[in-house]
Amino acid sequence: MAAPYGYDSDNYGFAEDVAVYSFDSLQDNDLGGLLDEGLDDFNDETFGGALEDSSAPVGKDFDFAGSTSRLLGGPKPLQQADSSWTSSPAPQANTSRQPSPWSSLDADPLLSGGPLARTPLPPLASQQPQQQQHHAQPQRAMRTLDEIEAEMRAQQQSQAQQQQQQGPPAGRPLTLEEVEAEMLRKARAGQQAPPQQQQQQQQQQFPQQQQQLHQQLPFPPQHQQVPFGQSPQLQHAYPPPGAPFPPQGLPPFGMPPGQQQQGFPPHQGFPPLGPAGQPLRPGSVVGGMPFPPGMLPPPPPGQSPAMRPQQPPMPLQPGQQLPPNGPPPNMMNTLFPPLPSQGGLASVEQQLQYLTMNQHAQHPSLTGAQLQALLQQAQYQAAKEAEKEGASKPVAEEGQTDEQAKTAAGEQLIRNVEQRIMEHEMLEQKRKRKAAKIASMAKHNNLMSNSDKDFITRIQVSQLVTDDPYADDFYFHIMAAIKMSRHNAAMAAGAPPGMLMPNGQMAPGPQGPAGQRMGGGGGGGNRKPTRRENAMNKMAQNVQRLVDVAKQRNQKGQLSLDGALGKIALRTRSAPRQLLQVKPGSAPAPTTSAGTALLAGLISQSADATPLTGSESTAQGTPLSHRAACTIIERVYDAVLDLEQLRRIQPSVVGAEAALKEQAVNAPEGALDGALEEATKAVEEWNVKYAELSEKLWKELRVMEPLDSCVPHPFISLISVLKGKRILPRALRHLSPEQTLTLFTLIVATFDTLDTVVDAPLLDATDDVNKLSAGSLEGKQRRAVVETKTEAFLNAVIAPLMGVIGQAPLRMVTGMLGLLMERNDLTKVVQSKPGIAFMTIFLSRAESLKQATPAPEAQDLTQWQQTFDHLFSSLVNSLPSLFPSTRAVSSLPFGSSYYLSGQSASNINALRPDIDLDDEPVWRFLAAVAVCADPNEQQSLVTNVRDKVLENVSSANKGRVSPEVAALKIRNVNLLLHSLGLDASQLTVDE
Amino acid sequence: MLIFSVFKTLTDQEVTVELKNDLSIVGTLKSVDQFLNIKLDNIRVLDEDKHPHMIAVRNCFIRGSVVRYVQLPKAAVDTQLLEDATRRESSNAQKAAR
Repeated sequence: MAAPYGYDSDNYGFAEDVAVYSFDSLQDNDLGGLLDEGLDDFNDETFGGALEDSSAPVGKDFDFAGSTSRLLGGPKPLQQADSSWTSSPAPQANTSRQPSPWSSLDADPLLSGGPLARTPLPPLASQQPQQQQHHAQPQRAMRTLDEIEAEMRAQQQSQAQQQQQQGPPAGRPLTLEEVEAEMLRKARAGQQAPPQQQQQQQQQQFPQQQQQLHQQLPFPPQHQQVPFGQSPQLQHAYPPPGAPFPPQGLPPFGMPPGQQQQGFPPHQGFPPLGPAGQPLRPGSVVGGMPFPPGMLPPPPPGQSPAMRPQQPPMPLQPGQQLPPNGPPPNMMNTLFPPLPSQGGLASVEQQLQYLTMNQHAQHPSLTGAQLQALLQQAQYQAAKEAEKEGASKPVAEEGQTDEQAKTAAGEQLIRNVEQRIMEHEMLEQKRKRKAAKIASMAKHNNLMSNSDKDFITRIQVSQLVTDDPYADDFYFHIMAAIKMSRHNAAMAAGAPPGMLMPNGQMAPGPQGPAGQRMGGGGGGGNRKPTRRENAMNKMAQNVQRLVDVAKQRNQKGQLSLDGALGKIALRTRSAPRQLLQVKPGSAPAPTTSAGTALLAGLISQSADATPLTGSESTAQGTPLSHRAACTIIERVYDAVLDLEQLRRIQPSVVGAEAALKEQAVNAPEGALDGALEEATKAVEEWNVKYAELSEKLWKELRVMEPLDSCVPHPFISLISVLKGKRILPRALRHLSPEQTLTLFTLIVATFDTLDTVVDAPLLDATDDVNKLSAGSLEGKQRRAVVETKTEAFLNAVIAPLMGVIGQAPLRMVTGMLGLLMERNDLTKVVQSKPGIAFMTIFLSRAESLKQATPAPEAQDLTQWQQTFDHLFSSLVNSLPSLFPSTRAVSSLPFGSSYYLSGQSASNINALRPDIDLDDEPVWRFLAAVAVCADPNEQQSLVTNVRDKVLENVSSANKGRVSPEVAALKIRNVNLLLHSLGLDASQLTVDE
Repeated sequence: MLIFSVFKTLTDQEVTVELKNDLSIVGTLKSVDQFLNIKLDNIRVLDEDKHPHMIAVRNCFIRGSVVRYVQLPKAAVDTQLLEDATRRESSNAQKAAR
């Protein structure tokens, strides 16, 4: 029943899909079993019932298996070989009832009993004869082997006439000539393979078997070459699924059963190609697939999934045996080079060669399996040949000597194969070791190993590490030092004295942030290097080489390749691409071009110098241009930075020398001489270098230029620039006290040319006034600039000046004050903040000197008194104008009278909220004057500032201003009153 | 290099990083590398209404090339030192060029 339905479904499949699907639905509904089973005629042939009906199929089946086993003896070994080859147990299904993919189908009652469509059918059909065959054997077990052979021969002879074949007639033994002729013909045909030749030789040797073989395979040469060992298996496991007819036992419709009974080999007459002309396998048949994919037969146990995709092309093999060297017809044969399974030592030898040749074209495990199979085959062949020797004697006498040689050759061959196996196994082991290693490392795939990380870090660090990390990472290092000193200071403030800064080497004099910078190693030198530092050191050593290479590359900067049109610029972090390409030649500042002078004039709005020519040299009496001043200041900066760097390394240099000296005392004579000498030399070098740089700095400051060479003096020009003011305190630290004193003398002597003094009146202007003026914005900006500069000047100068004056004797103070009054417009000076500050310092110092225990000489005192009297007399009539608040009021546009009458104080406070802060230094100065003055002078002083005092007190008491401002006013007034022994509370305001 | 050096001193300071996509992130500077890639902790976005997806983000790594500005805490920068460092760097560069 299955066969007709299979046939029908196949036909439907070709004709229209609908019918197929109707079958599917029938099957799904289990209706297949309910169908009319009227077409049972072929059931027997399908399922083996025919076995009982006629002996012919039996004989053929039996003949098939028996002749194979007898003739070649190879099937079993070969099958095993094949199974190990493809690691599939399936092929064994034809000798045992082990389920194959398709036999499992048969086991399914639904599928096997139901209307099987085309796909499951062929395996079923092909399987069946095998089962039938195996069933048949026990049934006919009573028959002896002889009987069977006799039967077979009878059949063969009866069939012999029908068989048309290209090869030699099968009915009789082949002669050597015939065989040779055949070989030649086939070789010419180009399709001929060594296996066939072997077979021919075999035919020669075993005529009887050959005869049987030819009877069994009466079809064209391709079919003759079908390996017997493979054909049952292939027929079983890889049936030609597309074949419309079951290969065996199921004659197609219209084909007389007799023809089938004449012993068609199972794979003959049914093209292995599917309808579409390509090999099909059951699972992949789409058009006629009778059941949904979910019902696909599961792969047999133990069969690897990989096996299945490899199967489809296999059906080609039965009909088309490949010549080993021929072009592979499909991928399957490339993957699994078919082992010519013909018996015979020559065959084995050939296979061995073939394997050796193709060993690298296929998977090694395949080669191993093939080699094993070959060995078995070779052994079997050798054994068989030995047996043959005796058996075939009566038949073929002439081959006796030949056969002995063949036996020897067989043993030799076995040895060869074994050797090959050994070699292969070694290779295999090697491969496995490699694979295991790769697998063990595979778990780290996509992860970075430590060496990887090191590599990356090295690349990064090579960009960072230089020979002078201090210079390269200047900011960080200094900042860290500053932070640490701050931290230490904080600790020292709150901690017991023992925890003061570990390295207490403070440079003498006031310290800016830069002054607190200890030597490069100073910060880290006293603590143990941390682990991180150690790692960094190690890293630094590691990359030193890389750095050197990079440095060499940097020196070149460009890489030109031979024959290249352009150049490759090598950029690094330290030498990045220049965004601005300025020719180096244009950098030097001093040019006498009108453009530069104009530019300088424009820039130096506050320098009080409108230089017509900008020349660095002031010998001709021309002041410095702003630009020239800036250039010089940059050089000053360079010198100062270098000096500071030297200062930083000083502790290590000096410390090393000191330590060595200490050791040298204890150490035996001369032991450390070399090192000590070196250290001493280093210290000397340091001193020389430091002196050089100091000298350079001093020269760059141009303090020693003739005083009257130009106005303003070059040094004043320098410090009129903001950055010049800012560098001044840092520069002063590297100058000797005499140089510092000279510098301050110069400042005092040229005080009214200082930009801050010159521009001081700008500070008196109120915002309101400037708003009314046309250039209000500009005025505001200028005032802001002046304020900043004044602040900077005071910050820069006051502290060092106090340092100098604080050490100065009275005579020097007197001299300074005299110089200040003599060479400058005193009004201008005292109406500027710096002037007030300077004079306050002088007066304070003089007063403290007067009261000091070792009293100054009387002459000095007298001189001082004279100078002070002169100062007082010049100031006393303009005392109120010293106050910024007064000046601000007076500078108001509508005249001072209106504002002075009552509202002024609050008004000026409204305009300049912080004017009282500005007044404070003046009050201080007045206090100093009052202290220094004799009673008469004090009297006149009080008389002159009485209005101011009362104004402040009254405005504070009347609550016209905020309490804070009022408190400030009172405090300011008290500065003066306290110095006179009074207090603001004693004053009664009449108004 | 100078900027890298400066940023190294700013670790654990609160900075505002303005990105080129107008996202402004405030956070504690955890680390910075030579490419000025920035690692921030405890971040918040200035305009959270506009970038609600950033609300849940607590820390981030910012590629240096996408940064437009970084607002530094004024107190944490020593301007004078910065000027010095700039001078040093330029003089070093000049020395290297020679």
